[in-house]
Amino acid sequence: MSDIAVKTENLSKSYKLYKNPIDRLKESLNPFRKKYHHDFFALKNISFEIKKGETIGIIGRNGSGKSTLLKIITKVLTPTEGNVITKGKISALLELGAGFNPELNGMENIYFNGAIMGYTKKEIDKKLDNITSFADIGEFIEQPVKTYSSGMFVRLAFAVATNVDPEILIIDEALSVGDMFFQAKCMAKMKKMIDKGITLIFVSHDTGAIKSICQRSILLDEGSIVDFDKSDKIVEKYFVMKVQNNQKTIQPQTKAALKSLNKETKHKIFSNSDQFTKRASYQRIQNGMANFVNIQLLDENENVIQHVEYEQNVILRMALQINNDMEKLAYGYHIRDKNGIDVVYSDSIIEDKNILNLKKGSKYIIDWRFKSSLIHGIYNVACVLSVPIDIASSKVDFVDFIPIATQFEAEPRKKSYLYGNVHWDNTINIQGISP
Amino acid sequence: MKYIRMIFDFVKEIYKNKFVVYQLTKRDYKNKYIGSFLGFIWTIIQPLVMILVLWFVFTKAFNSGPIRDIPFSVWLTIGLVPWYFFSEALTTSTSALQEYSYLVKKVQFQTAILPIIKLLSAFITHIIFIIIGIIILLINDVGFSIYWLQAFYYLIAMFILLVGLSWITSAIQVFVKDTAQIISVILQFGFWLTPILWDFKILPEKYDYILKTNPMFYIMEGYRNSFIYHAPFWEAKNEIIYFWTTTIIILLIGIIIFKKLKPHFADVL
Repeated sequence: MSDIAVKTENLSKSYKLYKNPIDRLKESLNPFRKKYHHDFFALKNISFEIKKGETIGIIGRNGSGKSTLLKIITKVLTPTEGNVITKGKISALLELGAGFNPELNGMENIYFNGAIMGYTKKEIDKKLDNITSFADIGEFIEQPVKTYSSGMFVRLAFAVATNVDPEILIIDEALSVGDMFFQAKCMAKMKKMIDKGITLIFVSHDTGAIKSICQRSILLDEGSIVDFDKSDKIVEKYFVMKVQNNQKTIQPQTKAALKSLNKETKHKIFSNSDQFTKRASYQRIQNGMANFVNIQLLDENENVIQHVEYEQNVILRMALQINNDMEKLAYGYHIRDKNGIDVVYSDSIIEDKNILNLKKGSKYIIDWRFKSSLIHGIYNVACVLSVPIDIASSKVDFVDFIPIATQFEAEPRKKSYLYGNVHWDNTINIQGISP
Repeated sequence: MKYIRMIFDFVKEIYKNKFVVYQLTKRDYKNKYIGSFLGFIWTIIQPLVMILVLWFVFTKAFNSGPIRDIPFSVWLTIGLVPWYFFSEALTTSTSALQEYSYLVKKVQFQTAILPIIKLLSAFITHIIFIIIGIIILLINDVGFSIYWLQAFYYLIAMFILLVGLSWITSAIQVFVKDTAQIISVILQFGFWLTPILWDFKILPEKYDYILKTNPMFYIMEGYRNSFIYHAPFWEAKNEIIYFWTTTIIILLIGIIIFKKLKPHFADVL
């Protein structure tokens, strides 16, 4: 028992949602405990133990309850049920600017923040040099913190949080506002503290950082612990979960539809396009002659995927329906990186696969098969239908253009890191020339 | 018994946090006058102007003469001193939790301290006001008396009353934003219902008991008794019992309400 740093037992946090703000007061003061609310569970039955000196990561999608959990551990929020036991001095970097008084200058805030954490002026005096040199914000230390940029803020906050010799350090995603060099500095500092035997709880979307720093990780989803295991296992599970969740939302179907789909699996792409229609509506341009009904990225077994391994075989499936008789229809896709730069493009004119003599009411499924050799990153797929007018000058009439048809994340190359944007097959010839 | 322990623990907690309390109070006081050229001189100007205006209106326009053989200006000032503190402290402390929401929502903090910060910040003004009052006393040849020290007793009594009240109002303010407005309306009534500008002796004696339900009446008379009439505070036995029963009940209600609502603060703010 003595080697436990943080222990939670059946922790739940429910938010009472009220129709009216005053209902909350009525309920709190009502002697007969009448209910005026309905519950929303941000955390459900969280129980775990963290031993002294352990480094624990917490991952989960937005809204999975990570920040709520940290706030309960640091006792900012009160759990609805269950309890938390912590042993040792906690220092936490939860939200940007937490515990800082915007009117005070940086220096005063160091003392102020320290005092809130329970340190006397003398104790902070001793740590002041370390804090200011780590924060490294120069003369801004004498300015009110309300004038700080978010980068400066996080520098000062991290410097204070890590230099007060806590026994438990809790870091939320706040770090991500710092620049690359500062993040590296923070990582180094955290590793040094871990070596000294500190207990660390670290929340990040950067799964790489989690894997490299945390021995074990907690995977949270919809307020519950999905798993608590070694970090690399958890990170993998997190990715799998993300993909499954995506399938879940795409696949709910009626029983009748399911039967017919067993025979014609490909047709389900037509019956299940609500998600797609919603996503695609962003800056979509249509003239109504034909339109995309659904667009999916699939692996070789025709499962919907969100993550693409390097050199994985992928299918980009387009389902479309024709609303007018047409002579000729061209189709194409763009793969764009997160900055919107076209990385890959192809269309039926290039591939010489235009569809001819289309009849009103007919439907088509088009599969593009390719091997992805994209570098690590997040990509958007834009899709286009058009009627070619003059191929030489690439003049077309747009029929349907969807800037965000689907999104995926390309995983880093496993064997060695890939730089650059494109990789093609190379032949290498080495000639040794003796001196 | 449980509540006495709670009060004791709380006092200990404040003592432990004295640096934070000191810093917050200092900053809170400075913030009132931040950016103004005259700065803290406003603390003196505001009550002085208030005294001057009221003194002018009542002596020149309404012809109020000395009351119970005391010059009106003295009588007025000593009556205003506690009320001014009471009204400023209660108004500002009611919105304390909202104003310091960054200490409620984002870090672990003993939130019950926050209304007290506002009381302490108003207390600085109060000290200056007392000094002004003493100067006016001396100008009017009402000399020093050992009874002046009784003012400390009344000051502490008022402070405890305010702690109780501000815990109630500040906690409710978080949920019902109208509270601050309601308080300011009540204070306006209170200003006239408390015999600050008029002598309660002008009312028939049978109404005394109504006046005495107002705990601020006790405090205000107490200030006058200490500074002007030099009457010992232990003479008014019934009033002592009544005031302290009321104040302790208010304090307990304050503790209970604050404790009950506290877990919700971070969720609502």
